Amino acid sequence: MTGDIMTSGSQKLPLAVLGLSVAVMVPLPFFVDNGTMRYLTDLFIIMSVAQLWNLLAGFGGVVSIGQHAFVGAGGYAFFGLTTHLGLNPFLSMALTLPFGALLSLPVFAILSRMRVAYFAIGSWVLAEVFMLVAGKLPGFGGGSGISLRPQIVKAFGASTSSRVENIYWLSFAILVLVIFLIILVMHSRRGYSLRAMRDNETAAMALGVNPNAVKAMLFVVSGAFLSLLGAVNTLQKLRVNPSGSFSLTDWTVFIIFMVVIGGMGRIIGPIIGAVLFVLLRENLSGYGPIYMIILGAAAIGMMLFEPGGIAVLVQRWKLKKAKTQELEEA
Amino acid sequence: MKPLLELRGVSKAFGGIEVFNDVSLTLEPGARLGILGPNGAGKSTMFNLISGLHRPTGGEMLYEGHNLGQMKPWNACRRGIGRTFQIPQPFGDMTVAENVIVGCTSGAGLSLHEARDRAHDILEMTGLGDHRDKLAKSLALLDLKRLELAKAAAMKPKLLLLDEIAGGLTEAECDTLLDILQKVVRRDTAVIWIEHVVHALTRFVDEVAVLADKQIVVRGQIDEVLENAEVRRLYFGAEAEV
Repeated sequence: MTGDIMTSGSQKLPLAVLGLSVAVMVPLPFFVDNGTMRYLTDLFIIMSVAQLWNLLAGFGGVVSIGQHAFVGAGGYAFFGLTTHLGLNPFLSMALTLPFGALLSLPVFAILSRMRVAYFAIGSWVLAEVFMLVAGKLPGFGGGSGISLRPQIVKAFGASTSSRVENIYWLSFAILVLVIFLIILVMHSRRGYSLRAMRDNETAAMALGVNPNAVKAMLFVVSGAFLSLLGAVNTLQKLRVNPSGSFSLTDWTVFIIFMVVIGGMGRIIGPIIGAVLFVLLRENLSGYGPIYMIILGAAAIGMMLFEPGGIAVLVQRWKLKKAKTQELEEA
Repeated sequence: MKPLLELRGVSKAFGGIEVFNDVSLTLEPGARLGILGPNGAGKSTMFNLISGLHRPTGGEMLYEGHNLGQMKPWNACRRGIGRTFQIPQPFGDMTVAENVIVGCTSGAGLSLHEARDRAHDILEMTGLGDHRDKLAKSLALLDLKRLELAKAAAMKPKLLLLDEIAGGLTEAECDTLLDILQKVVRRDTAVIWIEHVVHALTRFVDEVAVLADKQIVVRGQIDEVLENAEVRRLYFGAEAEV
């Protein structure tokens, strides 16, 4: 089945890959140092954010460039729930999920009245509004932000190394959960509606699909998990601040880069894209602004050359290899 | 019998351009009506109105007593109005079977398991069984037309709107299509079929109506309609006086 959501034909493959990576990644903290784990935690967080952006844009055709609003809001919610309301840090983290889901409802209600390009711009504007509001909230440190209290941070591990391990496992668990959830959604009845809507909205409507209901579901799922990821990111960075927590560059621009380079509308796409992005960042960040220019050029080149991203290139290369092999055998 | 569909003085304009003026039409459950008419007469617009994709600018449209003029397309579908498009509108990146499954789940409200079974049956009936795992965008025109029909039939509509499904087909292909129609369209399903291929239409519908000059100019048994002077004028130009 070529229409599958991974690069390969078999539906069992995504789950096999998922299982294998769990087997490798879970025991990893026993073998590597804190720096590597922090690095991987970052990778898992951006990979999850990229998966969620791909769920919206790649699978659902809903192009938002304001998803950083939810990452930031989740971070601030986590800070508020722990610091101001004095709730248990674990409970607070869990509560950022329903918080993000609830927050996405009014946001979607506003944005769903706008068409494609306006939707995208509207989402960006709303995210900026969120950031400005966060900077004005009393008790959140204004424009320069505020650090988490040590006892909240220590709830996730008394020593630095145990904390790094725990946050590593937490972010990996979220990534696995997000991917598993996307696979589940794609193979559910809603998944069929979603793909139909993406391919041809008018025909889908005539066949009983309510595009707004499908988009709302995607928006709520992604809003909830982005908010949770924002909370994890806050724990990782130990603080909230408007420009960092609501960073357009980190949580939207780079994320779009990853999905476009890796391959939109495929689960493997954001995984490839995020790994490539992190590698490029490590190797090019010494060159200053040139690094951004290279990233931008790579994304534009990919869009012109193969809009399906690396995932499609790999798929094509495999097909070609299989054909050559067939010819050689014949 | 209470009519299934009732159009009362319906009109539709796009901006200042009127495509439809004061059209009235009733259809009983299970009735099969063919629609003839020159290009640009508003035939496809009529389908877009009935399936909820367009809103009428005037008049009243009732379906099973419900106000169709305010109904969203997906609700019209879920209440049993299925349609095909003149230009096939497949879900290109989904397989043929998945295309039909959408009709079964979203349209007919079946579970995925039931939907797979029904899709299998419909695909066999429409002769698409061998193509079930192919991507819809890779199909040829005849198969795309079959897929349009399969998608709409999968939801077991009470009212099926067929938009020129025989257009561009050879005579042999037309015969195949009619066989398929007899198989997939249940006897209690009402059908409105827009078609230029008159010989295909006559083998399926009970009566025809002609849509021209923004209105339905005549409706009746197919032979009577084709003999009608107004219809002859529309189709063949004014008759020469001898």
